[in-house]
Amino acid sequence: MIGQSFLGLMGGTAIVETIFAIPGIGQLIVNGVMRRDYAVVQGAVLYVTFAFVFINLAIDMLYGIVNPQVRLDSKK
Amino acid sequence: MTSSTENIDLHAVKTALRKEHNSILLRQIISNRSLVIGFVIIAFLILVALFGPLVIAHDPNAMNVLNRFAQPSATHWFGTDNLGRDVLSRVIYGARISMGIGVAVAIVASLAGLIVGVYSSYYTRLDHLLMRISDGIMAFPGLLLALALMAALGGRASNVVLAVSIVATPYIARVVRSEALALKEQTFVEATRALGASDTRIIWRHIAPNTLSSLIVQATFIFAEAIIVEAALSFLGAGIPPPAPSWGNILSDGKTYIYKAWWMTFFPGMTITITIIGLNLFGDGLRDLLDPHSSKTKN
Repeated sequence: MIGQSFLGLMGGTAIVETIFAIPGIGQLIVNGVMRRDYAVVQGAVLYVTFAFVFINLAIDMLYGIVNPQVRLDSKK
Repeated sequence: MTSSTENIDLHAVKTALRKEHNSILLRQIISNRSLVIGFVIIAFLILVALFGPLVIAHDPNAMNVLNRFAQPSATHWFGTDNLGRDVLSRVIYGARISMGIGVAVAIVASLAGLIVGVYSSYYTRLDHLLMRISDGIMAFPGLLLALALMAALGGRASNVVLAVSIVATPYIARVVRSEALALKEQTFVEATRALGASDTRIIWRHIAPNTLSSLIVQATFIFAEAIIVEAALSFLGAGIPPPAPSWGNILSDGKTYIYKAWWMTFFPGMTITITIIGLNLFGDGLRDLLDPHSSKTKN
C-alpha cells in the first residue's frame, strides 16, 4: 500500500509545493516546465521514478521478511 | 405430446424471453443506486456543457473591471472574478473544455489500450515487449509524466489529450490483457481456430468484443482521472493556456485571491468534485451491473 500511495503522493507534491511555495522536487519540475528547461524536468521526473522503483523493490523484499509465506523459493 | 410441442410458437417464446430479460435488466439498473445517481449527475453536467452556453447571460471572457470580486448574487450566481468576469459562465464554458478533454482521453486511451491489450494477450513475444513498455510508463507518477510531456509538446488542448492518454493507456491495456488472456483459453476461441479463422478475425470478432464490459468500466474511471489531471495541469500553468476557461485555469486564477474572494475557487472546485464523484459512482454501478463477481455480490 505504501508503495502504491507513494506514486500518487509524488504527483500531489507538484501541486502542494506550488501552492505553499515549498522549494521541493515538485516545484522544481513545475518551474522547469515553465522555463522550458527540459534537462531539469527529465532529470527530476527520472529521479522520482527511480525512487518509486526502489521503494517498491524494498517493499517487495520486506514482504518476505514480514510474512515468510510469500517468500520466493528458488529451489522449487 | 410431440405434436403439442411442435405447435408452440417459437417466435412468441423468444419475444417473451427477451421481454423478461429486458425487465430484469431494467430492474437491476433501477435498483443499482450508485449507477442511477452517477448517471443523473453526469447526464446533467453533459447537458449543461452542451446547452449551457446557449442559456447563460454573460460572456465568459467579458471583463467588467467596475464589478470586480462581486459576491454571489442573483445576477452573478457564482460571483465575479478579479477581472469582473462571471464565474458561472466560465465554469459552464470550462465544462465544455474539461469534459471534452475527459471524453477525448477516455476514447483515445480505450482504443490504444484495447489494441495493446488484445495483441499482447495473443502474441507472447509482443506481450513481453508491450508489457515492459507499459510497466515503464506506469513507474512514472502520472501527473509528473503528463507535466514533462506538456513541457515537451507545448500547452494546447490536443497536447493535453495526448499527454494524459499516454499516461492512461497502460492501465486500460492491463485490464484488457488480463481479460483477453482468460478468453484466449476458452473453448469457443479454440473452436473458431479449428474452423480455420485467421488470428485477426479471432482477435477482433471473438476476443475484443468480450473485453468491452471491463473496458467501458475502466474508461469511466480514466474519464474521471483525465479531468483531475487536466485540472492539475492547467492549475500549474502547463495545461490549457489562459484566458480559455478550463476548470483548472479558473481554480488557478482564484488561488491568488482565495482569502478575498472564496467563490472564485469554491465553485469550480465543487464542480470538479461533483463531476468526479458522479463518474466514480457511475463506474462503480456499471461494474456491479456488468461484472457478476464484483464487490456488490460479495456484500
